[in-house]
Amino acid sequence: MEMIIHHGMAILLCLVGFHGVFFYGNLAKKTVAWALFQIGLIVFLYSLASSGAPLPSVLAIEVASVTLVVTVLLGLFCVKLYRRHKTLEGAEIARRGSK
Amino acid sequence: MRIASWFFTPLLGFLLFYTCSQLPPPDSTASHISIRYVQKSETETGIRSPAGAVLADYRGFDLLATGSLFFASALCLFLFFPGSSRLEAWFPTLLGLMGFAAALALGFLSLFHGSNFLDYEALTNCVESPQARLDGALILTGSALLGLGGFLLLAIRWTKAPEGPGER
Repeated sequence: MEMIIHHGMAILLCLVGFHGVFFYGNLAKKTVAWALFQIGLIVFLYSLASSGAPLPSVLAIEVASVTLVVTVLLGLFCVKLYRRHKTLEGAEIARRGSK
Repeated sequence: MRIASWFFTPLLGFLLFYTCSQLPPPDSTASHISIRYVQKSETETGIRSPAGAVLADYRGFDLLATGSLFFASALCLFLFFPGSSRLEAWFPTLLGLMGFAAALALGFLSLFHGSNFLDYEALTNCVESPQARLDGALILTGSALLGLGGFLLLAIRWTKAPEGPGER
């Protein structure tokens, strides 16, 4: 029970992010949800790194780098899609693309 | 997908809570390998920070693999852009893939031989040696930065790609 409380925030962030990735049709919201999921993972790894073990902090650094780079790329992708289709709704973009 | 989300999220929540309940207390997670990293990393690698030593040296191949994965993904995405069938787009792609394959082959040889592949003298003499670790760390870090550079190139290409519905 103590461990669940200790990692509660990380789990909550992961769950909110995971739910958002599936739930939202808007690509910008999906990107934010994915970033939240990753932030949850980073928080979890940092809470493990508090015991002084270097491996979790290394993993946290790697995950943070990946999250930053991929989030920037997804953001750019959203901007490009919005300029082209004037919407970020995935279903609408897919409908136009299949025509 | 929305219905799936209401099904999978509680499932993931259950799995995460169960996993966390099985984790050992934070104080007992310092295993013998972590203790070695903290106590001997500077002597063995020349890098002061234990996290830096793990990132660049002890787990340098992981970093190289991560960087290579980024680079390969960036190159694959690069080919989706308009004009990517031209030679100037394929040439860096093939060059990058060849570099990726060469790095993996060197890594395989290193692991197979049991020595640091950047210790050229030891490698050519077929002698096991833990020398030249700092050099190895620097070059592996550079490889990872190159991988991230691939993503930056992709981002620049992405922002400069032409607009409009008929661009593809």
